[in-house]
Amino acid sequence: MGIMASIGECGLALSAMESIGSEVDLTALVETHSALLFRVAYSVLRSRTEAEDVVQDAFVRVIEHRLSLPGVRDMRVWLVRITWNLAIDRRRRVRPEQMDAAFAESLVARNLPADEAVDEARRMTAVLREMERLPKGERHVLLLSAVEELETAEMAKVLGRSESAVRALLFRARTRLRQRLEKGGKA
Amino acid sequence: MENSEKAIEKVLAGLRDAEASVGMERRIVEAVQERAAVGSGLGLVRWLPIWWETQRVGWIAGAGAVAVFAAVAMLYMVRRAPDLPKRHLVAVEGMPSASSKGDAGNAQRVTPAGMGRPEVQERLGLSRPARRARERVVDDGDAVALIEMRAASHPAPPMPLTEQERLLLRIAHKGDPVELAMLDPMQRAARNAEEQTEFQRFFGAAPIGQPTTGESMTEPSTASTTEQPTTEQSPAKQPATEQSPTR
Repeated sequence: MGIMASIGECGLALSAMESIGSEVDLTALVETHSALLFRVAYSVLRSRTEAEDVVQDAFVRVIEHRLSLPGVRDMRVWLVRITWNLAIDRRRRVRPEQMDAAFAESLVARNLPADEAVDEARRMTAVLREMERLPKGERHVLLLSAVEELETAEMAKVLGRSESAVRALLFRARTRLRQRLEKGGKA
Repeated sequence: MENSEKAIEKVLAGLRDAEASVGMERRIVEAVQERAAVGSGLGLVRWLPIWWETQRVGWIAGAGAVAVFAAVAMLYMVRRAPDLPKRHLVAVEGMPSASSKGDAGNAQRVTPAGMGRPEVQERLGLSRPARRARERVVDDGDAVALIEMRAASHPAPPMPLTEQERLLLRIAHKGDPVELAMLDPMQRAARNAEEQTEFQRFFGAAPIGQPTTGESMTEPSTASTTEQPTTEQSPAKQPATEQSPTR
């Protein structure tokens, strides 16, 4: 849905633009934004391979709509929005549980004893599980906030909400997640 | 409280600090360029309206030229269309005319494939006027179908004989009248009835244990007729009886 909205936005921009046929410096775009887009995709997918594929798909969309790029006001937000929607779509198709388990294990320090490492991995897995159980809006805001490069205004544009709503959602997400973790995930 | 907050922070930090694999940018650029080259057809469809706005005049002229060329080509094809059946003309011989306007008296000629061609007929010594007089051009499918329907049909090839038929044939060719007659169930039944009648007539009248009149009449006669020779031939039989112990 979000992808279609962004494509529709491109179509509106297309009718307004005067100069057609402007070339896109793809290499410069990739060098500038790929790291950010990768982190955005990774926050949703927790898989490097899948995140890289999503970034690639996002730049393919850029090439497909390169004629409408002059109508895009904020290229960075536009790219993040495309990547975000692509990652959300992809997460519905892949198995997120396996990726979350692998990601939780990667978070455990390597110098810990085996029993402590197992406990730590379980705790990380519980956090990820509770994050996925959060309401959709809160979960999205929380995940986007993990990418600290994005400001609240940018997050609001990406998610299509107001800045105050984003702040409120982020606060509620952190609070709810903390409460559920303290209750042992029974809430 | 602190533990859960730490865990949340750790997870979010893990998401934030994720590093892309080495060479991701180069791979993305290459893949995107490749896909853009391959999927240029799809892009063309999406960019068609824009491209149409810019190139409208030139392409209208081009489309007009293509339309004129197509119209000329179609006109040429339509004019050529009536000539096409003449290539497949069928000359009919010995058959009533298939065309309604042709005279019924003129026999048409059916020639094998290729015989209707002018070069073949010239080779056969047929002059052009003669060809024209003899040929009736069948230019529609119904007439061809009519000709094919009226064409003489050939009998089907004989079926192979069955085992029983071959057996019958072997018996018949032997020519034994009794065996042939026995094949007829009526005659076979009549023959059986006749034999049974004869048997009944011969054995049925005399009681068991008594000789029939035929026997009583024939035995004495044979005895009387053979009586004389036995007395005469007895010395001749003697040596035979005498020789038997020696064996």
